[in-house]
Amino acid sequence: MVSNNTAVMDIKEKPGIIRSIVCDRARSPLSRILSLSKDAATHSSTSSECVASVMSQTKDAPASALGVLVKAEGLVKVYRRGAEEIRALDGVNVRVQQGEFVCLLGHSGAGKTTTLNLFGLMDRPSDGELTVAGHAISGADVSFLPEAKLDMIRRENIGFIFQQFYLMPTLSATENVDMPLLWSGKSDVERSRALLERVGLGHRMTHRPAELSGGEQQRVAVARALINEPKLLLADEPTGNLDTRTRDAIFDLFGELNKEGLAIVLATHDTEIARRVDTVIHLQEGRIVD
Amino acid sequence: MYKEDLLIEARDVWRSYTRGSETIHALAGMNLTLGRGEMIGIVGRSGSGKTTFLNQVGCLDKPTSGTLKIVGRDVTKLSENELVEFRRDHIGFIFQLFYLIPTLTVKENVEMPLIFARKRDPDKVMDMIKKVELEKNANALPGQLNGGDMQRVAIARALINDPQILLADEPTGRLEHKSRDSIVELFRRFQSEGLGIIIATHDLGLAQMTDRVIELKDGCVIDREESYVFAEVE
Repeated sequence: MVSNNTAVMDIKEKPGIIRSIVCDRARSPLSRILSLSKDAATHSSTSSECVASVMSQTKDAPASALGVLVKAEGLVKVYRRGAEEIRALDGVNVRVQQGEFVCLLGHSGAGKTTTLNLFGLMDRPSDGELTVAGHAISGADVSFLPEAKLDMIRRENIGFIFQQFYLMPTLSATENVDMPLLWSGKSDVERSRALLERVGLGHRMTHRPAELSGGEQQRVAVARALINEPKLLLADEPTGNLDTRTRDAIFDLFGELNKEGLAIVLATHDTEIARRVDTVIHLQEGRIVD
Repeated sequence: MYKEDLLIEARDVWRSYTRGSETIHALAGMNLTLGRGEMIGIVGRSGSGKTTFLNQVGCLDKPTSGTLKIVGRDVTKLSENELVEFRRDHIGFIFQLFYLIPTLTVKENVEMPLIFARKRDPDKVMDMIKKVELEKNANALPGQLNGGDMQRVAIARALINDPQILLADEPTGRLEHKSRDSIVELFRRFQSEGLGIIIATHDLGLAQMTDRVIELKDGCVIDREESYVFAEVE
């Protein structure tokens, strides 16, 4: 994680949980995920000097050069409700590197979902610079990207999961996972099945969502989010509807995927989850705070 | 009503589950018919069997016993694979929570069933989006719409495969009265084209906008005299 000074302080204060942020990350995450690699933990190179060195390198480097997936500077999002102006985000600076696990922590209304929506190109910033997967989305000299272009960047680079799962009730687990491929005409049921195996649901492939527990439904959603081989997974309160044990199991799955190279940005108000990630960004009223 | 106009014919339908040594009858001798172009409201408290009945009619589940004919076909005799195909051809669903995919545009959400059926047809998708009056939002993401419009997208998606039956499970539970009324208005438009609609709801006001209200209790239809749903408001 390389972000503004506040987040950097977070890293330095938690050296024990800093995993190899950038040093080994010229890798293709999803091929590793599907190969069921279990050796990723050995990649840990956890010196804060390494992080500091990377930070100094990245300061002026192009966003794409060092595996920066998201670069946000002075990010602002303003909504209007009648005559009222709501600054949902008010000058946020964040960088997310390949293979990094970042937690956006804050209460309801702090700006977590707004941040994810901007990173995921589901919404556009009102002001500030935003680069996602090497594509300049907004900024001083950035031309307006049409919706279709944003859709394409999103599909090629980003997977989403949500608190409500958003699975289609009339489709089987396999069909739900396969769904994002349909628009590109690249339906791949075998791959969907492999991903369901990967998330521990090999025995539930033909089940519909109502026949699955909450934790299993979220695993289907995770498999669906991975089907397009994203570099970045955005998760909005993904364990908010789950009991503690199921939450921990889902979080363990995120940990495995992250070790295999997938960058994850997870929004939550759950401080227990936040304790277990590389970097925590505390949001309050649209700003990063200590 | 002519026989061929009957979209649903349920006779003495039971759905029983076993939990340990206990047998639970979620449906206990359910009878109901739905005609072409008819809209029925099913009311009843939680656990009365509304959703279980929709699941049987929607071929998401199979009755333990009884006769269930959908568009003239005895669906109790169909295999799992045949049920999936039958469901896709004849039945559309909508739900209280819409279940739209947040990362797909309105157009893509509506198109999804056609893609699964390998019948891609962009013109048909746009025609359907116009029917639900969302042409200005065709490229929007669901999160950019209000609840009523999200349900319109769900209706368009449910009807894109030209089903004869629409099953709606608490379709306006999350909407204000104004949006609810406009959704019912939309239902009426499709109803006039021959669509049969069943709405399961706790909202008696919504149910009373339909042609016929049926009340369930303990898995079967009860008479108005036994009603407590109506008794509560009268």
